[in-house]
Amino acid sequence: MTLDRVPPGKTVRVLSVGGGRACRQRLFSLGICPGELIKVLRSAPLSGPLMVEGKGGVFVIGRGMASRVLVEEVP
Amino acid sequence: MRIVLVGQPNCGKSTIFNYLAGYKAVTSNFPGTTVKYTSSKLRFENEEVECIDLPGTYSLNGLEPAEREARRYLLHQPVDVIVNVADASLLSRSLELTLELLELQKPMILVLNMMDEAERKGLVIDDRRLSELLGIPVVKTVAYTGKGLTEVVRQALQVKREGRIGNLIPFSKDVEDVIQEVAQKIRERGTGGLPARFLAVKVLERDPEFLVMGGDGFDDERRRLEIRHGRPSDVVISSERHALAMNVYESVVKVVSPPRQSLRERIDDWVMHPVWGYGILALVFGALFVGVFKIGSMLEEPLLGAFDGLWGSLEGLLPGGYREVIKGAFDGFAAGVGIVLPYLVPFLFGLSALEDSGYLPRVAFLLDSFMHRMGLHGKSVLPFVLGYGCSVPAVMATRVLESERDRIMTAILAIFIPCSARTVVILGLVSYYLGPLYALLIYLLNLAIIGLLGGLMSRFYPEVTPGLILEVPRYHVPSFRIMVLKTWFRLKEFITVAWPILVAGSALLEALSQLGLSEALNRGLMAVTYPLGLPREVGITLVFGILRKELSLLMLFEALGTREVLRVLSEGQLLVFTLFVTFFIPCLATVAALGREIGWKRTLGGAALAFCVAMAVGLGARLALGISGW
Repeated sequence: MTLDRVPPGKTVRVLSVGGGRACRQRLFSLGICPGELIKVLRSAPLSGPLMVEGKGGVFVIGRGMASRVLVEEVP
Repeated sequence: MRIVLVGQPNCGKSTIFNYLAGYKAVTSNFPGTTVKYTSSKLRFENEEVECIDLPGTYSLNGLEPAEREARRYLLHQPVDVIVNVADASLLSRSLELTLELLELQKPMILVLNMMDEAERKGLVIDDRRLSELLGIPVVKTVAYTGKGLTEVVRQALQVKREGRIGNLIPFSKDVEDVIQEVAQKIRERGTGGLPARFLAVKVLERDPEFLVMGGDGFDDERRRLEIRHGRPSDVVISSERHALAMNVYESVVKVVSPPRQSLRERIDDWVMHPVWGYGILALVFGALFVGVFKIGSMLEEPLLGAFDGLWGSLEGLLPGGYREVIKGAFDGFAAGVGIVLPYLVPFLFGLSALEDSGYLPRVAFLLDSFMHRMGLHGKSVLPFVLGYGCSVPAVMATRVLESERDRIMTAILAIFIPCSARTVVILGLVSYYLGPLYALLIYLLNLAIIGLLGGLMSRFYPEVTPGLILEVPRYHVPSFRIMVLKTWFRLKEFITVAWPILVAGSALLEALSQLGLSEALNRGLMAVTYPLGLPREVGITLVFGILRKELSLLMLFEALGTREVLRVLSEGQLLVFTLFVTFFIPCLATVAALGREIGWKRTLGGAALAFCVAMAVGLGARLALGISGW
């Protein structure tokens, strides 16, 4: 599934990061790269952005960008 | 001797810079506050050191203008020592930039800032081991208390003396081989003074800037990486760097205690709540403006009264002929103290507190979906909020946005936000004479119109950006000292630039009317004042408003010859006048900043748009209020 569909409170593992080169590199530099764990902390109403936490810290990521990150659930 | 502070956004570079140089760079708890470099000279152990504070950059990829500025400086300016500042509590991520910087082959040190936060997170960092691995000195600091900062300069001077450049840690063998092949070819073609390996990595990352520089012909190499690893070559390189950084990280960091459930999350539960979050947002900004108005209006009257008394005793001593002109200059001076400062100082102070607290990125989270309605995203919130202070930094802050379209749109919309000078007009005129509720309505109307304009503009220039990505920093209790310094830093601009213009403008207006010239000017400006139902005399104040927005207010008193404006203007006219000034063409300083950021043609378009909107709003208000002609 994609990151924007992950409900708050869940931790997932990144499988791949799509999008253009710039989008990809930005996500990579914040530690959203294949193999890393990410926890979705909360999501804003009205299909607003997600707030996520990873090794790279806590950040806000828009739905558009989150939909390009493929993730899997971790048991 | 030139040392350059480089690091990722919000790691405290500017705080270190200010500690060393005196308060010269604006700091705040929002990633990307520094958008252009600031430089300052300091003396350390009898050596003159030039210190440069670069905009924060996550990597040397140059994805947004502020990051490109940092990269351009590092590559093309003479740099003696790179001082790489890292947020110790986010070390694994910060190390990726460190590895890239090492490729530049310059004398370098690594500063582990925010050590207190790292300790709170339960991280123990073996700085000696880290220093061995990277081959450069590592200094631990806590910038906002000043801890370790003298050591930073001492070590920087030391590595410069020794000419010590760090270790180049190789990637895995197959990737490294390709890099070396490309580097060799680049060396044969000439590197333009840049390290060949750095260029090779950038070429393999498909960095557009370096594809041109290196020429191409490296498709084979890129394809080899792609076939072997099954992903684009830039992903191969970033994954390598990421893995390397993780290796270094894991061999120097021990997590001794699991991070505690922090206060931050409990505050965020409220502040970012889907319902309460918006209530708190309204409360925070409402409190700021009401507070500023209360303090301002409390001070305005006694201050102006004191100046009136002073003039009364001065008047008799002055020679007859120039008395009116001197009175003009005196009024300009008095207005600066009596009308502008009472509102400006508390406002700037409040804004500083807001910026330093770390609240603004949360606002970006809350407002992202609204910003999408007008074709922007949450990151544009920062330029807008800064716009309430001054349009010039607001326009410059658009450099943190990745796409050019977003930058242009945000910059043009940001000039419509009432800056502190316009706030002085709104509070000093509408709020003071008609009541704070009317002022609040003006602010809301302003936001509605900006939203409308944004919606219209994005109809012509559809949204293409992937959207928001913004780091959310920790909360931080704003330090009183920093707030005072920052307020003073911003106030200086008013005192040195705007105030003299107020005094001179006020005197000039008197001189013009003594010579009978203002009458001619006002007659020409009836094209604007007549349709708005405003008295002819206010025409000239609008012209002065282009210099500085506060001037419109002060000139109004001057032009009408009284501070009791309600004796001359009706309440409706007062509203129309204020609305027109709020939306009217931005001041000269803003026009100049806008020209630099988005080009002169677009700036002209933006100014014309502002004029049309001001006219439309003014006319609309006139019709709605049923003001008859003058």
